[in-house]
Amino acid sequence: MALLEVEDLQVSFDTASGRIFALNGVSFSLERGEVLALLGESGSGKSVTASAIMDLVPNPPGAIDRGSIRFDGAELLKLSRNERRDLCGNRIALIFQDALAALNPVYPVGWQIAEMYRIHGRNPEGGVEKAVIDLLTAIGIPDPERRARQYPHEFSGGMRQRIMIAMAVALEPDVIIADEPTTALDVTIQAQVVDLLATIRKRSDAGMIFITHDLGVVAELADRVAVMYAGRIVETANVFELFEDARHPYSVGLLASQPRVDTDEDELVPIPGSAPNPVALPSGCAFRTRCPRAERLCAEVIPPLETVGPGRQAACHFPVLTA
Amino acid sequence: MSFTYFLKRAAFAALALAALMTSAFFLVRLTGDPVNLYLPVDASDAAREAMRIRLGLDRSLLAQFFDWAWDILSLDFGMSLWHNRPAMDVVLEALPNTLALGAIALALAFTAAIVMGSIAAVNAGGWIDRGVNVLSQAAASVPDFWLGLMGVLLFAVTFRILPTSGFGGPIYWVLPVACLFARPFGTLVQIVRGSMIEALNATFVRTARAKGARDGRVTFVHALRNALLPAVTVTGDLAAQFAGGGGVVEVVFGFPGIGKLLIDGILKRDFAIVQASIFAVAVVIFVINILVDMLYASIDPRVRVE
Amino acid sequence: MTDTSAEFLPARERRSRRILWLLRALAGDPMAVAAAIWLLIVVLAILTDSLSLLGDNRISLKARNLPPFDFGQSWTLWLGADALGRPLLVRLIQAASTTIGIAVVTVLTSLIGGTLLGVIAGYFGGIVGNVIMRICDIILGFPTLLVALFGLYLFGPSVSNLVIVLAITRMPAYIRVARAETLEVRERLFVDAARVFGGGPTWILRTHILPSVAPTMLTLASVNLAMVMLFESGLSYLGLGIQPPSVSWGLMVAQGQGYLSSAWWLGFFPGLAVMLTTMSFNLLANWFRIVNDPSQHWRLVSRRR
Repeated sequence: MALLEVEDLQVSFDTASGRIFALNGVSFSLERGEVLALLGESGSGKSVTASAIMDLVPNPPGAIDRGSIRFDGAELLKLSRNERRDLCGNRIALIFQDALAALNPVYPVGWQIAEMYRIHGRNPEGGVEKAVIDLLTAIGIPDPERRARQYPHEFSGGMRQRIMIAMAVALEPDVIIADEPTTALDVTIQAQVVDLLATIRKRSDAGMIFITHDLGVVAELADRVAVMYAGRIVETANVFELFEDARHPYSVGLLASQPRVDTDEDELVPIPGSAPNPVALPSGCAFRTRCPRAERLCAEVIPPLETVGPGRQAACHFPVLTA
Repeated sequence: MSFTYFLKRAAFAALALAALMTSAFFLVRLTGDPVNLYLPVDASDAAREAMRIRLGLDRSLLAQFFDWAWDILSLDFGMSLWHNRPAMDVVLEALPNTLALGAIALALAFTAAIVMGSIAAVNAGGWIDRGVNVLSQAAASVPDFWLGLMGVLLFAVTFRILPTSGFGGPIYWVLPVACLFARPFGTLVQIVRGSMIEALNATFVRTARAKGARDGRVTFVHALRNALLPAVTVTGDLAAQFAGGGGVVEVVFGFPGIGKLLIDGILKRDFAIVQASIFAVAVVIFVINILVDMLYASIDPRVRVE
Repeated sequence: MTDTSAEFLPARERRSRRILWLLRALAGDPMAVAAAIWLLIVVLAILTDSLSLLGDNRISLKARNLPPFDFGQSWTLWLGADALGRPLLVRLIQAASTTIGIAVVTVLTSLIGGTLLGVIAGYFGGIVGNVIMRICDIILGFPTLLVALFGLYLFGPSVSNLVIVLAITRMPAYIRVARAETLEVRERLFVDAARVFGGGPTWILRTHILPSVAPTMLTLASVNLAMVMLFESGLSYLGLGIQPPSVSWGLMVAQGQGYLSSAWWLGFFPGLAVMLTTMSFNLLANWFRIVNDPSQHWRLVSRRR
């Protein structure tokens, strides 16, 4: 049994221009010790997936309409509000994209990390204070005793993101969800944060969901990739298969539109058109309006996510076959 | 809180006071008859002439100004015509009453507004929220003098459990405090509700939830501390407004504060009292501003570095 | 994305769509509807008064301090009569003209004056801008009521002085907002572009800056209407605002004060009128702000609130 299993998840939001479906039946699973990358453009539903797992979908205007999220054998959507909260931070932790906004501006960072222990009633050996200092040392913050008493605005962007990460790993959770943890950072700092995440990954057997639109980070960290488009998963594959032999035309387009060092091709081909309007998605396959391979069937039938090889799936009527 | 900051504040307060008083001095002498400030409109011509000589209005404008400015700078605000005592003495007697009245009303309004505003924000859109909205809008819209009269009608005239007006034990404070409470309460509930909703939707509140904090902790530990910032600013502004006295409310209840003193001074044309009251109010506002800045810095660490 | 498609509609159709949307949004907020209805009643009452459709308002000794809710009498006496036997309802309507008239004129004065001064301070800056802003700081450094009282003391109570004094106490808020918006607009590229293409300052002000500043200023004005009404009522109550034989709601409360124990309605109804009208202005201002903030729109249309 997988550590985390998401099945047929549908999430919608009320907006002034109508009801939009942010997730349209998303299914995936995560094993212990595995890093799964959720890859897609902004608006594809990656962050909403994380929110749904953490019970952070704002209601109203949002609502989980159907589906299931199973964690360690328990159905999360059937748990009470407080039972969900007890799992969060403790066994499933979330790292936010923008650490400056995600840290509370009026409390010292040490206090905010220590709060993890306090909320879940943990008493680490040597006391909470020592645990916090040890964590700050472990993530590479110099002079941790002094820094713990400082406020978020007194740290650099990279440091703040490290503190977010320290907070997430404090209670050694089973699942760590990182929601674009490097997007808001400079490129050099990005590399440091990715290194830190890689170290954490090596040290624990936690499963990690890594949400990103950055193929480079995916290649560096992920074991498996789920590509998302317009609220659906359109392809899942292990990271090598995806880079070598993507099946869904969207994945192929995504790979072609980003620079790579491992091939000789130096021409970047952007995907034509723009992401579809979530209020009025095209009928059938949402990608068909931008897809070079689209035919009449694509406008009539939504392609289901089907197994296209050992351990890999794609949702396309006319998958790309390179071999 | 550095010394330069203090000096800057003090310099501005002094400048503002000087500008107000000086422009008033010249405006009155250039556009009208200053005797009107000292005598009722129906005073006789002989009385007007006597006052004109007594005030030295026959001298040059500059000579008058330097005399006046010198008196003010040596903290001599003149004799009150009605009380027949130095005006500042009368003002200093009234000031503590006003400060206590304003402080009690504001403290109650602030506390009640935090509670009601938070409850409304947590239930945003629900019927509790709508109820609180109507109540606070009504409180923010009610004319305080009318609320006072209705209070007198209900509790003093009909039920005879509270005094109509006057000054003495705690019972004399109930109605004035209740009347002064209404408008700041209504205003602050709206502010707290708004900033609380904003704080509850902020990313750091999502973080708190993601950390596993339950609703109570999220609301009161994480959101409220941030939502307090605008409420403190507005309370500071309201406190400055109150420093001018509970104005109309003090008049309704015959409460011997600086608002009643000032308004009586105006109606009875007692210039020394008006002048001294404004000076005292300016000093109080200066102190309030410094206190609010200090309070703000203690709530928001981001202010400290600046 | 209905909004983007509306861009391509002819202007007339777009406008009617906008009005439909406003009406629909208004229907979603019962308090705003109630407020709008009350203000409509007040406006209609003022209109009937200005067209002198109100019947007589003579002193009548028979009706002295007649209690309200005596529906056997003529409708003008349904809210009772004052100490001179004048029908209270008619007096209330006459006072409404004064009170609301003064509030509207005051707000328009401070709106126009404040916008102009603020735009000047923001667009030209320099010494003029600095002087304007320092004067604002000084006015805001004192309690509004104190400044208003002091002004009326210096210049004497009269309708024009009341309007001027109240307008000046409220003006700094407009100046600050207008200046901030102007600075922001001025920094934006399109004004640079306009300057490069030879637009003079007045042209830039009219076509670029005023349209950007207008919505914020109107929101501020709608909030200030209520505030100015409260101040005018307070000053008139004290005897420093509207003077008899003119009549305003605040003055009526003061006149009814002496009859508190014998004829409570004389002070009750005018104060209630102030409260309901102020509250309606506040509620509509609130609603106006939500309508002008696209991120709040879902609140007005969502079924699952």
